[in-house]
Amino acid sequence: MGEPAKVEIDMTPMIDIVFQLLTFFMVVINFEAADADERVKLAVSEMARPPKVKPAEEVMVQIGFNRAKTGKIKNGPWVFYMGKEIPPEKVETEVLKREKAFYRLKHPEGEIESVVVIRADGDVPAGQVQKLIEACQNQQFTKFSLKAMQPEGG
Amino acid sequence: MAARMKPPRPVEKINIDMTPMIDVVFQLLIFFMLTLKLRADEGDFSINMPLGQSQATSEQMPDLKVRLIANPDGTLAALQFGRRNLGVGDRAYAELNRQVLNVIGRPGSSLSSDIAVEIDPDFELHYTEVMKAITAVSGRVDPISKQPRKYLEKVKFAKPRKPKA
Repeated sequence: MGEPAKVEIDMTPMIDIVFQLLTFFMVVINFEAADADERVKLAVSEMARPPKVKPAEEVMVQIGFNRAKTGKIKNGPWVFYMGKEIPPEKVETEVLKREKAFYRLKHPEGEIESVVVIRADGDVPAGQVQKLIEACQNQQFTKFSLKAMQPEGG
Repeated sequence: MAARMKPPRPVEKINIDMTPMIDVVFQLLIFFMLTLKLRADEGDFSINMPLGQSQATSEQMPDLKVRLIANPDGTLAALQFGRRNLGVGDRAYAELNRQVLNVIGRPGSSLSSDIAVEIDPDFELHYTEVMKAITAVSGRVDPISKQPRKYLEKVKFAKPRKPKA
């Protein structure tokens, strides 16, 4: 009996497909959206468009609820910031002052050019969002960007 | 003297070990597959609210006022544009959109950038209703070109009202 024949598998088609998949996922992935908290169910607006020019510096403030799997609100509203749930009345002291101090480290003089990006849940009381804006103004933030979800297929 | 040709060497087949590359590629593939989130795009409305201007100020053009009155459960009870009551629901926002167009004349006119609109909601009102009002005053999407036609660019908020309860 002779030696068993060595079977060589041609890997080329598999590598082709794997590279295709890899390229697809690399193109589709959106790292910016990784900051967005999934608990915040944004309101829908057909007029809201992604900004043509991304601001150089921004502070993201997200306000929403903890919900059950059914979508029912369990508790809140909370400001979601760096993995913590902060009561909205404490956002000025625990978030905005810190962000302002951080900004001032880089820019000791002048107006604050940083844009406050507000991602607010559609069920949050409007007054809470207004108070949030007021708190930002107290810390000299004057530029805001209100996030909304574009309609499906829009 | 005739040049002597060297006999061709037998070509050596170099076997490249693909295993580490395939390992890494699969790792990357799994990473991208797990982190992929297919969701609708987010858009935004840019708002400039200089200090001390949360309420109407004496600018050249008077602000348009949009008042949103809430039911105790946070739903919309009434939408008012100036002193006019526009009702509730999608028809109210469509009417608001029409009224704003009447004020500015045509999309993108000089009034679009001069006039500001002040949104004044009840504290309890769901934020989604505020977003509908901002959408209505901001313009409309052209049904054919699907491009936004801007009505008003300056949107600001009134001072927050106190909760009713």
